[in-house]
Amino acid sequence: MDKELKDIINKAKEVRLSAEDKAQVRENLVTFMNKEVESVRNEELVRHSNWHPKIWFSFARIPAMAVLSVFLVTGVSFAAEGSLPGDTLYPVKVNFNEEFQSLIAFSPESKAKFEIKRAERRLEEVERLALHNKLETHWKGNLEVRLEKQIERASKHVAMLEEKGELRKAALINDRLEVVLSVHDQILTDLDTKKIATKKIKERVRKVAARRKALEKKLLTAKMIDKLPEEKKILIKKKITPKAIKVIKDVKAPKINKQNLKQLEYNKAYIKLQQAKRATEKRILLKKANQRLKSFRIKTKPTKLKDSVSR
Amino acid sequence: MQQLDKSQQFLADYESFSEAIFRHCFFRVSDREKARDLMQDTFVKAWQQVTAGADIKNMRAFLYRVANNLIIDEYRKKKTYSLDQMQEAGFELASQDHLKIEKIVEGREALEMLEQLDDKYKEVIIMRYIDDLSPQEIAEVVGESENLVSVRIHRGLVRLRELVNKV
Repeated sequence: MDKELKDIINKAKEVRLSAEDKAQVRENLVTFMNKEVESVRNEELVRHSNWHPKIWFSFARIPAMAVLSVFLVTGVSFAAEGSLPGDTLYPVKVNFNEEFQSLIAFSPESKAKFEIKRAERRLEEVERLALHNKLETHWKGNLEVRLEKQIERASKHVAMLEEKGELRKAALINDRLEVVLSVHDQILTDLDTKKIATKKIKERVRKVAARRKALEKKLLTAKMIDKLPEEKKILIKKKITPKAIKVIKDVKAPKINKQNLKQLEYNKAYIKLQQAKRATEKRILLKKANQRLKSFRIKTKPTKLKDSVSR
Repeated sequence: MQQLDKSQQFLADYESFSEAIFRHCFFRVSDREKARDLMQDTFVKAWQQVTAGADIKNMRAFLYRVANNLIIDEYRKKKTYSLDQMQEAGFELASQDHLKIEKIVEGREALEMLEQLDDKYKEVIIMRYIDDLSPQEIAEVVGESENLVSVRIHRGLVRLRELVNKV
């Protein structure tokens, strides 16, 4: 191989993972592996029949706490996923399952996305409780605090990215948060008739929208080079509203490169495209949320009656 | 007990290969944080295979295959990161504790060069020369014949040489 090529290759080989990152990933991996090992052990215990002396022997050696954690880790944590505030398994869902997953998320982006997902789960719980007329009991002091915490954490990541100058990443995450909050706000307007949670959520929607406007202002003067047409194609492929398609098609991005910097027009086009993207995502999310609620309406009506009799 | 051995062996594999897998991911996706996430996911997925009892003869090649599949998924999701964007975001090639500024600049050159290659060439060139995998191992990773891989490496190298000469 020629010398120049060799030089390039050698320089490429010098790219390194930082020692902290390596240690951090290792730590995450060990946590993950411990969880996996326990679930495998549990499966093995179930698979073998109980009379086998060898199994009894090994079973006796496992301390009680470990046995408990084995069951917690596997069956229970799975069963907890569908629980609501007030259910016995709800703390497992929010304190164990979700905390564990948040540990696995690494970059500020994936961390923020995960927090938004958690906020989304809280909002879904709000809706289900509103459907059962139980929201009043569980909103104050529990759901409200959790929801606020998740939104706060996501916003913190947005702020961190903004501070680092990663404006677009910050804006994308803020956009997602806005979409999620405004869709659930829309749904709750019908469901939350006593206006228990809506006021707080509306306030959050306003805050996130204000943040977006501030970010857009900054984006307008930022230096960006990108493949806007590609993003347009991706969006058009999604099933979206005719209105959004029109917006996307109207977005005409000037070709920019280092010689021809029509930055301002480009940035305007980019912001408009994000607007269309939000509209698209809102539409998709609203449809999904309505479908899910529909299934709960059908499933929960009889149990709701039973509940009120037994309590 | 067997499980414990497996864990220890796997963590030893992490020590040996994490750096190389990270570097591979980095040159493929051109984003440090994404590369770190991809590296982590690679080991998580590989561990799941280990506990599921998969018969892994060559851990190194296996890890590359998992990473390669994850990278392909990543491409499918979205591909919008360019070098300019990374620079705009204050991107650095390596932690400054390890490398001098001049080396960072040079590493960036290598990345810029590789960025211009078609992905099918880029992937084999990175594996052959940066990761030092044999053509046979690369064939295993990408699921093509060794012959085709050798041809691709050769063509990729010709293209890379053209790019170097242009500069």
